[in-house]
Amino acid sequence: MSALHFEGLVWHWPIAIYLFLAGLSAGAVFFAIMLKHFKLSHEAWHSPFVQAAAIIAPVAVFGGLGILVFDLTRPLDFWKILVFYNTSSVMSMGVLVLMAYQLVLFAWIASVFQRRITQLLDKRLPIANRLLNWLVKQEAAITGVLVILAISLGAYTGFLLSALIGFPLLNNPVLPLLFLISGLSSGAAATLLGGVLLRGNPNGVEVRFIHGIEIPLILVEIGLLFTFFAGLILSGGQSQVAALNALGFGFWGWIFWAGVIGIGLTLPLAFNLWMKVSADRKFAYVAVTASFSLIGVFLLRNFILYTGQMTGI
Amino acid sequence: MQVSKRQFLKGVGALLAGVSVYGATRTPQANSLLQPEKESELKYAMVHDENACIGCNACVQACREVNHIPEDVTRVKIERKGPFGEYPDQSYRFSRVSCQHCEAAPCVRVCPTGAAYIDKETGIVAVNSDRCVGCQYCIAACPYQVRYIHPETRTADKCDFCQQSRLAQGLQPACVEACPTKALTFGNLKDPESDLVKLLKTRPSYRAKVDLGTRPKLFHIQTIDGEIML
Amino acid sequence: MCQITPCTTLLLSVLTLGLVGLAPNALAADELASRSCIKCHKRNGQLEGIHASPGLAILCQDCHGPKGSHPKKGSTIMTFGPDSPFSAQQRGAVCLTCHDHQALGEVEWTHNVHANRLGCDQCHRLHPEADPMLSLDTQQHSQLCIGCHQVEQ
Repeated sequence: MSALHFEGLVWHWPIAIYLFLAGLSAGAVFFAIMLKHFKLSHEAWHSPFVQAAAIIAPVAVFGGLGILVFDLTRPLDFWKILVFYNTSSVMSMGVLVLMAYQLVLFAWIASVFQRRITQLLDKRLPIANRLLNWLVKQEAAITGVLVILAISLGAYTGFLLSALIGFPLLNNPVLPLLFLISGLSSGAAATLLGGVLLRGNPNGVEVRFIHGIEIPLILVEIGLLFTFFAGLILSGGQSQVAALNALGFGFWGWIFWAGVIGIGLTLPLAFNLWMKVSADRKFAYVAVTASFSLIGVFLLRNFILYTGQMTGI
Repeated sequence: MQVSKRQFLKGVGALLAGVSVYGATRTPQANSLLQPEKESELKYAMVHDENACIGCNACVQACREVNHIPEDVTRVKIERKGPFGEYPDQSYRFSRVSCQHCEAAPCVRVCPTGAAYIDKETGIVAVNSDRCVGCQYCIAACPYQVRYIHPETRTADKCDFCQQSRLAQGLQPACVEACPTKALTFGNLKDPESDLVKLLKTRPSYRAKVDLGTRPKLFHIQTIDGEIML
Repeated sequence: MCQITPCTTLLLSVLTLGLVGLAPNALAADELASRSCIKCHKRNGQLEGIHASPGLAILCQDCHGPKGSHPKKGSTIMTFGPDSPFSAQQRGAVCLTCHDHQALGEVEWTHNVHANRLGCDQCHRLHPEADPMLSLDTQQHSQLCIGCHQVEQ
């Protein structure tokens, strides 16, 4: 039995990438909304960080869906998922959330960047301008719905796996919460990374605000991971076997302890705390911290997906 | 703020309306909890007597032939455990692994398109391959690991008690007929006179992984051979 | 299916080594006895399969025992096949002097469940070029089980 190919493995790494990208998109949107609401207000549209989030969120969700469709055994039949629904299916409900999310996401982006888009259009499309003006008026409602949809999407990535009753590590009530929180922190990291790459000020108000949220987020994530595995071990039986298999030595044990805990959580936490006390933040600090967070979340998705399918009931 | 709150509520209302509209367009085949219909007289099930089974795999081959199953996949497997006892007096235990036709089937619950469904007429868990997109959610969700992607159709496939190939012609499933030791009994759970019900009422049987709440309809009569296992 | 058990390989090498050391005269005496069998058993005495490998150097008497009074009455010569007066266990014991039951069980599990019920000769043939058991496909394998285990309703 190798770490990446074993009996009973159904879902491979493309699904992990999809889960990662969907969570990342939701997280980026969440932080862009928070930035606008609490710090930037009407100045949001020319913040490189909000701009980065507005690019990353749709690209990530499209990329994720593309990978998902490509991973179907009948990719050309993907439209059937959009036409036929099943209320008891987490995936079906997730598709519904994803569709609504994308629609509202574009509405939100349009309303936030209305001035920029109007400039670009230069009175050429009066209908588009009218639509934009209408969207701006609805911005509060759009924002509220988008926050709900983003959180639903983040949690959905976990629910998708926790519905698999045959695998104790996946069929776990903490998983959706864990994926939601880690998805949010990956979104924060992507927004920071994208923002500084778009020449955003690494010592600006946006970075300080996001870092302020990131520290408690990482602590919550560590707490959730602890609860997740402690719960499995205390359940005994195959749950315990699954948890110990995953955390023990070997390929996935290394991925977890060095990748998820070390690179993904401990180092970003340490860097964040360091940046909090030191005078100012530099581009390299912000970029490296964000990259480590992203790597950690990506590895966590793969770790959960693979080790989860390794031990059945 | 007052206005935006009202607008937000409007949005939520629209979302709820969307959900209810969607509820009306759901698949007709999926097991519906909302509309209890008159119960069918048929509920197919199977018993595998592990005392009679000799592990010859005649069932596997008959299934392959009748249902045109390619070599690298199978709808039914006989799992062998052993040997038990000391040479030359040794024995094995055989257990059938195939679709359990769960009353609360996890595959049906997770299928996003309703391609996996429970046939209300017969209680058979079936696949509508026209609707299957190959997301493999059902394969991952099945705790019995009996589903696979058919290499030719590229859709999910598994045992359907030969519903397509033989039941319609009034025949028993291919595996039942092929079994040389009559280890397989197939029949209607709702008919008290059926061999199946009589067998289940006279012999103690077990079903796999019942604690998952799947309510499977593949029964096993445990072998008395071999040692007691913990 | 057509695997040589680890035991056979070992045996082959041991035999080959042993033969090199043997005095030519001692070998000749045994071989002469074996050749005399072939004088009568021209048709059914030829050994052609894997057991005829020169390295194994199997002689008639290795399996069938010393000639004794054969073909007259009171012969104790070992015979195989459906007409054999010997029990399945006795016939099987001859094969098991070289073959290891554990290795056989690992290659084909059905060996284990027939160990005290069938003689090897009821399925295997070692005189002909090919043992039919070594070329069974899965379907023929099942059919072989059904051949004996079929119960009437």
